[in-house]
Amino acid sequence: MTTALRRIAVATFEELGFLFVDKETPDAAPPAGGGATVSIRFRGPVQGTLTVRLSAELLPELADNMLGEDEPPSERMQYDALGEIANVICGNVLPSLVGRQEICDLDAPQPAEDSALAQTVAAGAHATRIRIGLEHGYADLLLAVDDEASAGKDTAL
Amino acid sequence: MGLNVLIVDDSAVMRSIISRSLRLSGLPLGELYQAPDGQQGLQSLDEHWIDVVLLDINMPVMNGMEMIERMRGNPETATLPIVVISTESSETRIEKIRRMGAGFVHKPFTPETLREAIRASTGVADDCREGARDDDGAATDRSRDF
Repeated sequence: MTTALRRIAVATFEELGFLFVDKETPDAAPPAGGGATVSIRFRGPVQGTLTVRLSAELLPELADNMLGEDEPPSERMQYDALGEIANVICGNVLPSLVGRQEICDLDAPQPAEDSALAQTVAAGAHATRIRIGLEHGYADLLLAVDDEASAGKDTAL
Repeated sequence: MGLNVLIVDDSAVMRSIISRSLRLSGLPLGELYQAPDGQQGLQSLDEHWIDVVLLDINMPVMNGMEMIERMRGNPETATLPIVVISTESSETRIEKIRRMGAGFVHKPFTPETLREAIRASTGVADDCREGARDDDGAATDRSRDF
């Protein structure tokens, strides 16, 4: 799952967000703060949450890259942009969890607290966590499945 | 005459990306309308002349599948070209979308991919001449297999 999540996240940030990715950045514990975080719930044969935290300084740049407008994007649009990144990553990684025949539904991405990543792992969810180096910042991703029965359905990558 | 397009997606950023992709696609465009969910999308169909609908699946209030079902159940919109633009990866659901007479574009996508899907669904050509439809009048396109 780590490989698939990293591959899909890298492709999404590069192709949709136009942020250059440092593919050599190792996984690491997230820093204490300074990030913009969104979460997206998925529901189907497995249920869980994808949480994406982007270093705060990259959020306006991400939105600007995606929108390509003259005016700087508002904070609402910045979080919308990050939410869409999370939406695309989540939708593309789900086949690695449930296969290509099962149907999953995604809720709308929601802004979340910076502590969402740490709290989800602490709650005992089956989770995959990665960090991606992005130009002068980073993105932390946490893919958490709600229960062990669902986690047992992980498919080979 | 250009295509009047309705874009239905709960993300304002994605609606903007789709609009920009349409302008880059080379397709003859008329008016572009936007709606944040299926319910407002149906309202837009009542209020405006629309030639093709581009819509997401996962939306609040009314999702894309329900909007397509409502459109196909209405004689006035039963044959209106539809292209789904979504992160959907379930082959089961994509097949259902195809059986409902809609094309499919996977996110993320390029302007060229979007153009070809719209051309396949509407029969329109870049030079505004009417082109022949594909045999089934719809296209399924997977622009990215991550």
